[in-house]
Amino acid sequence: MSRHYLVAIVENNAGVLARISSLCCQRAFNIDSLTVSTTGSPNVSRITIVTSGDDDAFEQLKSQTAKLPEVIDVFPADPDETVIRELLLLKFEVTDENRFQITSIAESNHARIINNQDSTLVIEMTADPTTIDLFIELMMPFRLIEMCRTGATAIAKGATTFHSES
Amino acid sequence: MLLNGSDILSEVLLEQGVDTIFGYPGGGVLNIYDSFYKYKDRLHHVMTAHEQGAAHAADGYARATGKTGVCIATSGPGATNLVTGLATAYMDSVPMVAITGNVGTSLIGRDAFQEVYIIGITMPITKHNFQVRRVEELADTLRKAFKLAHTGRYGPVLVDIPKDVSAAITEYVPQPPVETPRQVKDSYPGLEEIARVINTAKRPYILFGGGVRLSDAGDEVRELINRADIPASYTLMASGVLAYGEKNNMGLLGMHGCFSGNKAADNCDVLINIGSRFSDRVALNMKKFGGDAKIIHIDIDPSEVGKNIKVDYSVIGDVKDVLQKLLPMIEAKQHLQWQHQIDAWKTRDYHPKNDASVIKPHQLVSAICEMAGPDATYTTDVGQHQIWAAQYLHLTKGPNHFLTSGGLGTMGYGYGAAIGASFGKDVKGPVIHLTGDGSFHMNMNEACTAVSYGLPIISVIFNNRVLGMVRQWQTVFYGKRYSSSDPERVTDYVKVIEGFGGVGYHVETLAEFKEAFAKALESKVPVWIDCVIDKDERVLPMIPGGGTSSDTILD
Repeated sequence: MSRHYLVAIVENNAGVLARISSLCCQRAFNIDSLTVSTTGSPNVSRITIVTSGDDDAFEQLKSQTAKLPEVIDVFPADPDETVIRELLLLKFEVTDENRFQITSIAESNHARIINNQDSTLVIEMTADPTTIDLFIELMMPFRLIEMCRTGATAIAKGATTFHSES
Repeated sequence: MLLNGSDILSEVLLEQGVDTIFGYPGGGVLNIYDSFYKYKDRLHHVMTAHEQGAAHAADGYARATGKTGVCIATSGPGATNLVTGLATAYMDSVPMVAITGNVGTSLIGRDAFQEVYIIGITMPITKHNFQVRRVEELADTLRKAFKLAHTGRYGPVLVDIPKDVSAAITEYVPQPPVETPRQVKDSYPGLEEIARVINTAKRPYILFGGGVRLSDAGDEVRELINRADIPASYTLMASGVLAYGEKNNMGLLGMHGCFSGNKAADNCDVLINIGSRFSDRVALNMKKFGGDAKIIHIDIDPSEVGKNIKVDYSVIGDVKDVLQKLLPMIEAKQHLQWQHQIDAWKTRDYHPKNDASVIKPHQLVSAICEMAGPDATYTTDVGQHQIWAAQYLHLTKGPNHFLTSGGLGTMGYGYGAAIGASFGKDVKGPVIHLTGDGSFHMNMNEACTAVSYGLPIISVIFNNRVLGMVRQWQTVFYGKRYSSSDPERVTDYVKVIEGFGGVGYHVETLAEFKEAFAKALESKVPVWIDCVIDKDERVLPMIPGGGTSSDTILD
């Protein structure tokens, strides 16, 4: 089981997200996250799908997604050739004793304290999904109150583009 | 010119070359039916008994004629009644456009009377679907729907039209009919390599499926088979592509395919799949299917490659065009040793025994075939009779003469399909509906449609008074515990069809059947022939799901 990333460039129509999520459910594709966003073109949206599974399952996800008439193009995103980012928010219950420790672990991992109150602390991290997983694991010994993370979004490194805005 | 949405629909249907529509009216489509009234000289609307019948009729019309079938239903239950018909067409890649009415746009999402979210419901069983929110988008959306249904891998497309959209008025700009030519390419990557693999094969075998039928590639398949001396089996969807008795025609493959064909597929060194999707009824064991063979897959749909079976070589394209580009590279060959081996396996093929005292299914099918002539079009329902039909009908006029629900396996498909086929302009011979008593109880209501439109469809009921295929499985795998497969129905089919306005016969011997069938062929109204067969007749041979040719049940 390895993590795969698929970037789909789609027509910005009502229902396109429903079609893709329906397809994933119909064919039992294992989805870790799915992110939809606008692009510089008003008629085009961009969907990033993160999935765990073998190469054959990913190939099916790719070709079945590509078959949807509203999907303009699909690109498997190679993690080595792509900048992949997710946003993580963690809220901890803190005491005067551990506040400094939590803060310093967060900061040494390039996370930020974005809300600091009497008994709670909110940490934000932007990183690739694997780094985020590791950071969450690192923070588990502390009293986690709430956690949320976005899906991944991805852009190719260098001159390659998945969807050119020009 | 300024037209309302309903007239725009009628105009676009005409643009697309549609002259026959199958449907059922209702509140959500009243505007549209008012337009059909106006266009009735040019658009022939066929009203069925049930929307499911309309969907199957559009499907049968499409399969028999090669044109896109059109059906229409009202919102809510009308739309949901299309669902089984859409799924049937989707699984078998049948080009179809379904029109549904819906409540007005201002009521959408408010659980209005007869409102359903048909777009959501049909998302996984249509190639695509549209809800038209503005009348200005209607004409182009419909054109897109027709194009989608009949390009690439064919399939059903649904267009949902809210009631205010079918009433609203806008400028309609006529457009010439759109041709949807087959996909043709100059070349296909990897084709030389595939030709080399075929040319050097010692034990080549071909499996072909519905793609051959849909791209009309029967001649190309025949050429490949003959030139390279490659025996070939086919899926249910490709029944009739090769004529009965033709050289290298090995019959059906898979669960109820002949022993020799399945044995050959498991022991070949190169397996060439042309336009079939390696379904679980053919590739029964997805890990072992094809044995150690190098597998070549030719298909129009890239997502079929590697979906069920790992393949060594693949070409994506319209199979007719791919084969036309491949054939010049194929060398004439003879595989004497391989053919000799296959002949040896053939001695173990199952051959049912004749019996004059009762109606044996294979004799019944043969009699139908003999008497109906080569031009007959057959439709089936689903179950034992369906497989007997596929095994024993001697089709000679191509696959469009055999209409059956292969992928979805829809009991109740046959009568609707027969009605649809009856309206095909080029459907010349008799239309014969082969059914079982189980399946027929699902759709016999369409007899009223056949009567209304004067369609002399002959329904041959393989009546074993049980759900034969269910019973067969219960016999073999469930210790003869016949749970809910023996309903003890006492339906008098002769009375029922007489009640509908047709003619019925009850027969218990083959001689009686032949007499009744001869009269049926002369009938101007629908005929049902109730044929009593033994409830323990089985479809043989049979390989259980997950098995290989070594697991074949022959008696």
